[in-house]
Amino acid sequence: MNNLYKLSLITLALSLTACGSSSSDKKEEKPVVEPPPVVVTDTVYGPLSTGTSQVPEYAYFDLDEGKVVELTQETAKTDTIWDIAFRRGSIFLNQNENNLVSVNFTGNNADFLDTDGKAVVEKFVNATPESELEDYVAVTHASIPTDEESFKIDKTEKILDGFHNYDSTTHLVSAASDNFFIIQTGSAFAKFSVVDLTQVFYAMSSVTFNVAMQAEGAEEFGDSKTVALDLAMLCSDTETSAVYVDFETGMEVSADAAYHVSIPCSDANGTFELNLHADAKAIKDFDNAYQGVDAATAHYYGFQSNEYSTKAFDDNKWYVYNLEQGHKLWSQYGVYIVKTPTADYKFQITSYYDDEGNSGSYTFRADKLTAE
Amino acid sequence: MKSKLLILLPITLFFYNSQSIAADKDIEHIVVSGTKTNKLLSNSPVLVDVIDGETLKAISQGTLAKVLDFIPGVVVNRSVKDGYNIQMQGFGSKHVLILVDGQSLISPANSSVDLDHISASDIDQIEVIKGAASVLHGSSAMGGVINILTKKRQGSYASAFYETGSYLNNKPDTENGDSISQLLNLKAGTQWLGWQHNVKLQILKDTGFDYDEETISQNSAELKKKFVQLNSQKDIANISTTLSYQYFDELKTRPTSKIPGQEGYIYYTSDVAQHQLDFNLLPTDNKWKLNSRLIQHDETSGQSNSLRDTSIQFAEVEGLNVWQSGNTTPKVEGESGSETVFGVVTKFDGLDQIKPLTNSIEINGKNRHSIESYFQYNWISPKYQILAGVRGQNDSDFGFHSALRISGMAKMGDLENPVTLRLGVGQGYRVPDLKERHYIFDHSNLGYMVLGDENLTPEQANSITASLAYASQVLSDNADYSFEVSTHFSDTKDLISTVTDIEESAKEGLDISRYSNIESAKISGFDISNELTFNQWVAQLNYSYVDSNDQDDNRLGGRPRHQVKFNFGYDFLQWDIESLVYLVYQADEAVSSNYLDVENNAYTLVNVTINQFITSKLQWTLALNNIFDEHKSSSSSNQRHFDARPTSSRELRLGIEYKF
Repeated sequence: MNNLYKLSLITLALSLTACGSSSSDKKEEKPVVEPPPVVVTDTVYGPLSTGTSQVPEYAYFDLDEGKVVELTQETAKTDTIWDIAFRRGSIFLNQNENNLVSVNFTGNNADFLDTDGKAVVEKFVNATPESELEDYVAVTHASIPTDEESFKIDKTEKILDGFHNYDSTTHLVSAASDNFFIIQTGSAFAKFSVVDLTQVFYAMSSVTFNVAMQAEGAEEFGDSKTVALDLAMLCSDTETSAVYVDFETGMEVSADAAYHVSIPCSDANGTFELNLHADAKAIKDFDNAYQGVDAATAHYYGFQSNEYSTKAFDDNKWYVYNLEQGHKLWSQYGVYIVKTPTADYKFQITSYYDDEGNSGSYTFRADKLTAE
Repeated sequence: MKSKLLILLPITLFFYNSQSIAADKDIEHIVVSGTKTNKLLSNSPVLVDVIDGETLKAISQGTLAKVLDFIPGVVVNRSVKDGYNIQMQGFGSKHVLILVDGQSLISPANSSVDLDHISASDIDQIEVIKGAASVLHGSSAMGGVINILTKKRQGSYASAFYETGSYLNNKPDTENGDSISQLLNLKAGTQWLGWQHNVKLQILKDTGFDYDEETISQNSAELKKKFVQLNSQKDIANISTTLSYQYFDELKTRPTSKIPGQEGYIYYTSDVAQHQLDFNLLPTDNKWKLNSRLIQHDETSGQSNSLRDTSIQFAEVEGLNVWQSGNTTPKVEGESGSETVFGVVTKFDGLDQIKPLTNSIEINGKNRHSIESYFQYNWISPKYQILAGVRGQNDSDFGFHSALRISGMAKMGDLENPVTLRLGVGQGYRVPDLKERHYIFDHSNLGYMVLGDENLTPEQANSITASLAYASQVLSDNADYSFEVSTHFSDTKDLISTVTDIEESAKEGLDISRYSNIESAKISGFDISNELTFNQWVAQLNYSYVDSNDQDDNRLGGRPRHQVKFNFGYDFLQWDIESLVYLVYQADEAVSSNYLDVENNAYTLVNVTINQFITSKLQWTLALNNIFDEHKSSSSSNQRHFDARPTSSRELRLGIEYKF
């Protein structure tokens, strides 16, 4: 980084010197030679603190202005200034429709991982911001993919989406009976799929679940049973906003009960929407891979709340963790192209630490990609 | 392992054939740890192993870490905090109680005493009780007790000892460029105003070692230690009154990694300051005693980017009374006596821990106090003894807990060839410490937390031990031979370990572990010990076998199944040279599934020391430790390969002592 930056400054200094010399020779009226434009090839930002381990914070960053935007988590949802945000090891892109930000990974440093996807320790440990500058500099405006599909955005999704199939030609909806979901409530689990539904225009008049329960302390799901709901009847009362279902009893329950899923009502029918109880989490098991859940390691299955975000940066993680068993995050020095509605930027994280070694302190390079 | 044993036995036999002089009769040790009263070793109803202070002096390098590695059946491990812990009879360091002069110490290293925080200067003897001894010694004595007894010096004296050493073939990149380790011991004492005053100063600098100069991480920390000990004693109205103070400080530094993406390094560092104050009363007839100890321990330790400030307070007062009736040292059939001991102990523990960088409180000024009492009855006849005891502990944290134990001893054989059988059945326990109850270790940024649990109850063990000792004069009465075999079995329950808190993990989206009384284990094994003593040389060969399995029949990690310790001491009388070779062989340690491969699981350490008295006041010592340079490979840790070998490498030490 420093070398090229210094080179740029030297170029600028030499140009100014040349400029100064020329000014003393004005009498000769030689044409003034404009200095070449100084191209700063690596602008370094940070370290940006993302709080402590007990009180993690978001650091919102505006790439256009190259500075941090002070926002709360709530105000950030509607803010259109920030482009990219950091919170501990996670990186977020603005999802606001007026400033939708996406990212593309250029794929450099692929040799930092072996063919099995495992980190090559010495590659990570020996890499420095200086040694990886070359990769960063190599990314230019010409590197921007023209294919919009190459750019990924952060998405907010619902974990129980996918319980039905939709035929866009016929506009018919059918049950996706092979798409299983597993719901975790404390140490108990329920596995289900929707095996039947009745479509009434854009709503459901009935739905049938196939459910298998794994009680607390058990290691596998028990025998499956069907839970059928007459949504046309249950949603007939206009004051009923949703139908709440407890898979354990197979009954409709009240909203304040410990239900598993709820189905919003609309126009005296159910909508094509399933929601989880606020205290429950779920995973998709579309491969029907799990015949039981190991409660002690359930945390590693990837259970998600009703609505969850998928981060574009997670598709190509910028770091590996715990190399040399030191509980540290090591950057792969990947170069990303971040697309905002107004510009494209190249982006490379050089460190997760400040010079004292305090974690959560991002240092990164970011520069606007402009056509030559 | 068998092949190693077969190699060692001929060594012993070789010296058997060498010319020997009629063995001196040993002066028998007096031990105190088995009953809390003075007993001849052969009359102790509890099996006690004794290691003489003079032997330990030859191998000590300032602290207990090296010393305990000499003791048969004791496994010394390097801790995650760059200190040293022990295992004994399959029990880990949390379950072996270490005492200095019969009194407890603090446990800053993961609920364990750090052996590297205990000075080995002026040890009189070390007494080792293997097996549960909680009735007499309280919490943590599930696997046994190691009691370090220091010398009680009288009169005027002064001495200075200086030793320097170097790890061979290793080039640690120390801050000040030192390539040699140094140890300085100064001792002096005098009578003044009717009091015996003793002062000791010990300064230790160790360079640490680094096997691979190319890596940033260093294998062992550069450290500096200082012990200052002041002690005053006077007999007042036939009561020995002793006031002792010790100051200890330690500074360790070890580079562990570069800071990813930065130019600096991350260090493991530990900065400790500890004050200890003892007050002891002991009448000349030993019929009662009062011991008290106060410790204040302050420590800043951890990785340089994640330091923690820890403050530990400890206070203990113990009083005991001894009642004797009849003849407590009966020699003739028909005579008998008894000894009754009743003691009361009160303790206070306090713990604060904070992470200053983030102001995260990990343990918020928690403390606890307990009152314990024990009662022990010892019936003594010339051939038989019975020892029975009970202990109760009322703790501010978890209420009442108790333990029972009964032991017996039978003497058989005759005076020339005594055979002693000892049997003990009893209970041991360990109370949960403040960290296990109140810890908040927040690494949520890395996806996990470890939390204490205030509902923990004491860990418990039921154990049985049996031993048979035989002694005889051999080789036409020219040598003493002793043989001892002992077995042990313990059934433990409610062992404290961390388990995933499923509901909390699901709720927080983190891997949250919590200390719980969840594990149980069965531990069994045996020790065999042989000793052959001539007047010029002594050879000891010990073998220990340990099998330890948890409730799922998985072996407990970190325990070597086989251990052989052999030592051979020879005195070159014509040159006033004492020499000692000792060997430690360990094999078949249970390997955690966290390791990807096993690089080494059997190793042998050989050490040699030579000590020559040039004059009655001047002597020099030479020690070559780890002759064959058996140490962990530099790559094993990074590659997550298991390597059972010790961290320390070959080391040469040279010392000189002058007594004024």
